[in-house]
Amino acid sequence: MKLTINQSLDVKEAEIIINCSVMDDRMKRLVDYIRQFSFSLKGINNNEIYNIPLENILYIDSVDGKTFLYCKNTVYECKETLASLEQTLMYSPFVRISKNCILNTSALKSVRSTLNHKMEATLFNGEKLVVNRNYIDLLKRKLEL
Amino acid sequence: MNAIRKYYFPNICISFALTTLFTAINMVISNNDPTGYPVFIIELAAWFVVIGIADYFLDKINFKSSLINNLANFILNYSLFLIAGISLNWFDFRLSNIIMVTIIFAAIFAVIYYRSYKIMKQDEEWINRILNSRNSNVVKDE
Repeated sequence: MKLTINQSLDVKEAEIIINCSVMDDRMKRLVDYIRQFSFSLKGINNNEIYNIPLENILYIDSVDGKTFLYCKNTVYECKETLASLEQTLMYSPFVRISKNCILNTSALKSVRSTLNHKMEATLFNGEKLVVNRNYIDLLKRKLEL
Repeated sequence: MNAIRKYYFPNICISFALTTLFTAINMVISNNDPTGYPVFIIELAAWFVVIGIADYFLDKINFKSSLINNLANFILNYSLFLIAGISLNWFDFRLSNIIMVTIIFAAIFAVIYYRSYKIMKQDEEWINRILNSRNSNVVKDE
């Protein structure tokens, strides 16, 4: 696949054009990924609602029935459930890694297996999350895309 | 060696387990069970299913450390084994028997644990290889 990037200060809005012979599954997935960059989630912080771009979210966690969006410096509460977010983010870099956590694989730096048959995921900001062994295949499939 | 561990060894184990189980079921159905051993095989298979279910739910608990998690796993499995063993008359409740079955249980537990750990290590290497190749092509914004 040929990739051409035209960079110019004259361009007011970034535009992606795909020229292809057949719109196959891989291409559709690529389009879905690109569309995520214009997609955001609503998060609440100090009683104010913010639209948070997906690429700013490191992971989504659920505690005591509440869902939280973890960004680099701020945590937002989200009114959606983890299950509905999992569906919404199916074709994005996000993947479920445990019963209560969805990880943005773009923020994933490395993993390390632990002695209790789980994995410890290290993010670029140094945070560590637990990957349950039931979700390791999901993570592998997501990274394969 | 990898193919042996990944394909041949599990295939041999599954084939042996299914053959033994179906033979035992056939012997019980056809009333050909003079020793009681086929019933023991069926009970043991059912016990492994129970252990699998217990492990599944144990996995959902977030333990403070790997050591506590492993300890809880061992104690749960061992307790279920002792309860099943004594209530289903797999062995008499004598010290020599308990020591013997404990050694066998610990040995099997260690083999299963080691195999799972090796699989997990392979997954870790695979994921890190993908991440390294991906991250080396991406400049992360600070």
